[in-house]
Amino acid sequence: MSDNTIEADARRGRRREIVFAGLTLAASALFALIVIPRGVTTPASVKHLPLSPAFLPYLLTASIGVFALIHMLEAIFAPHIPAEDEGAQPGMHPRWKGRVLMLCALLALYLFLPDQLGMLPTSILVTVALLAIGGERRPLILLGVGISVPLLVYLFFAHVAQVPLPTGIFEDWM
Amino acid sequence: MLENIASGFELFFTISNLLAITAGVCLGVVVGAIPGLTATMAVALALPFTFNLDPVTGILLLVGVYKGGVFGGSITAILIRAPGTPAAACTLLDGYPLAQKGQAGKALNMALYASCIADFLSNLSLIFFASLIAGLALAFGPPEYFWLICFSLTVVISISGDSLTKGLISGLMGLLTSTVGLDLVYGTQRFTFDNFNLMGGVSYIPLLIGLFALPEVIDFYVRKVAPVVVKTADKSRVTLEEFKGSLLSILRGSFIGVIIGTIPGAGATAAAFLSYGEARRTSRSPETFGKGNVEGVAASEAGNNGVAGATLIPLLALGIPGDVVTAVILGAFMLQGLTPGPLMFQDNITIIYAIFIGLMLSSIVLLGSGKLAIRYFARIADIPRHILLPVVLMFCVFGSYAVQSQMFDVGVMLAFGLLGYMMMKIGMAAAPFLMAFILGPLFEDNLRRSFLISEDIMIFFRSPICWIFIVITIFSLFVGIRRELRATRAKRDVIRSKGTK
Repeated sequence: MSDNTIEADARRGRRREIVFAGLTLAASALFALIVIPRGVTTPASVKHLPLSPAFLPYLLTASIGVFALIHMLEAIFAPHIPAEDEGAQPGMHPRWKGRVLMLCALLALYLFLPDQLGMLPTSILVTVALLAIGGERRPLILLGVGISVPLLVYLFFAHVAQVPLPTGIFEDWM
Repeated sequence: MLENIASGFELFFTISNLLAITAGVCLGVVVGAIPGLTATMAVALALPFTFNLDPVTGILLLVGVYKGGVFGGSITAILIRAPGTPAAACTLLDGYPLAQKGQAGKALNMALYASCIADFLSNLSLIFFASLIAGLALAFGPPEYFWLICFSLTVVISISGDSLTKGLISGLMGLLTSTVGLDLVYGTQRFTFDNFNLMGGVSYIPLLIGLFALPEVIDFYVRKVAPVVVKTADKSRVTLEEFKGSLLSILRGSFIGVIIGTIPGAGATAAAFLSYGEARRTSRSPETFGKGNVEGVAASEAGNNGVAGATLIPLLALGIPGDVVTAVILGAFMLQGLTPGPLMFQDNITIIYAIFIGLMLSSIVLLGSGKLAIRYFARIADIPRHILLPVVLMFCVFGSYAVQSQMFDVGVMLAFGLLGYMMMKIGMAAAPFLMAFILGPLFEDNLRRSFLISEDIMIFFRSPICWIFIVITIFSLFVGIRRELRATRAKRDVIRSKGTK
């Protein structure tokens, strides 16, 4: 690797660390000024500071802010230490944006569909879709794995582990 | 005494007892290996089967399930980075990198050996030191617990990965997340924003699954090629040299597990991380930890399994359940008309000895069933990633849902999965987050309970136990920070010297 590439990587790494520290600092300020006052109810009868429900959240938020500041100063003034696997990792998939969008959509299906459609049909749908996105084209694997594995897992959880999984529109049938 | 032991042998050696312990361990290993299904859930599921069994058979079935479940959690942690139990999250730190190098068999076998040895030593301590150690556990009040948790939290330094400040921020974020829910003292809401599902806090199983397993799934679909090619696991074995090199860590981890297991509420996760931290601190090559050091697997599994027998100490000696699993086992004792505690040692000593014999045998059964499980589970490593990961995601969803039978937990898992992925991308270790999240409620609860007992801050210095933990906490902090700073300085010196050339 040439010196220019190493320098460019170091600059990029340093910038990333500064951005991370800056965002963490901003998040801790947001927490201290808005989230904790709105999210933590403190009774008027609190006798001692450590007994207050807001004591630990404030202490932790302040500590996060302090360490973020230390990290920022470190990133600005000290030489950047590259992570051991930095640069060694494979690049992004050519269609990674589309794949991520599809993955997010399928994760959303996993979250919102089971109550309507049932856990088993949702799992079959998502598993077959993910297998296809992952590059599987053999119908036997797509449908064989995509249907049989969710079915077996469903039967194990529902009938052996006695977990009342959502059955959705198939409630009577299942 | 010899007469009692002989009667215990007579009571134990029946086909039904041997079958119960074998079936229990095998069931535990399988259930423990499924992300989301914990050893606690496995024991609770097995409880109804004990109603019609003899007391010894029923108890041994449950104890077998528990012990198998504790080991089983490490299998999927090593193979697919999805810990079956929270304590197994520590095992994945070195187990998964070993699997990535094609040495899953080595990691699994070392986990099994460490588990069996620690389990055996834990059982021995239960048999010989139950009353002594139970007395020590009784000396722990809120201030002593507080310092114990502080000491446990110092492990965050050892598991911070490449950046100490990022590791500390990760740990603090974990502590902050643990404050979500109803306040323990006043019952007021904290970060729940009137959401009923958050009143009891964030469930740790969905958090655990999301933080560790989901980032691998997301990463697979983002990268150009599969980021991990886990090679056939069967060819790697633990060499005698590696075993000898890890033996001290196993013994130390077992000891830590026994002590932590004896103290009600402290839990296997703390023991596993403490044992791991100590192994790294005393290692000649601490930089190899977290990158596939087999000693790291041994240390975490020894700490994890050292707890198993020891949690029965307060139960049998004092009648106090140390955690949820032992509470279920206590229920099984009571269903059989037995009341654990000092009186049981007088009235039902034969049953006690029969259980002890069964416990000792369970370590050997664990070795056998573990070997069998490794042979079949290790084949998971051969499944192509594009087929395996959709199935992993399905287990993540089912496992998260199973905790409280609500879709909200699936949402929690997905949210922490995204957080885990972001942490992975910015090089922030997730292990400190989990460690702090699990210890957080204990930390805050004991801090505030101490203040409720006395308004004077001197309550935190009230006993020799407090002082012992204060000293070792300061020592651990000092040594840990000094080592990390030295390592960082050395790396920077190398970079500077390259820059001046």
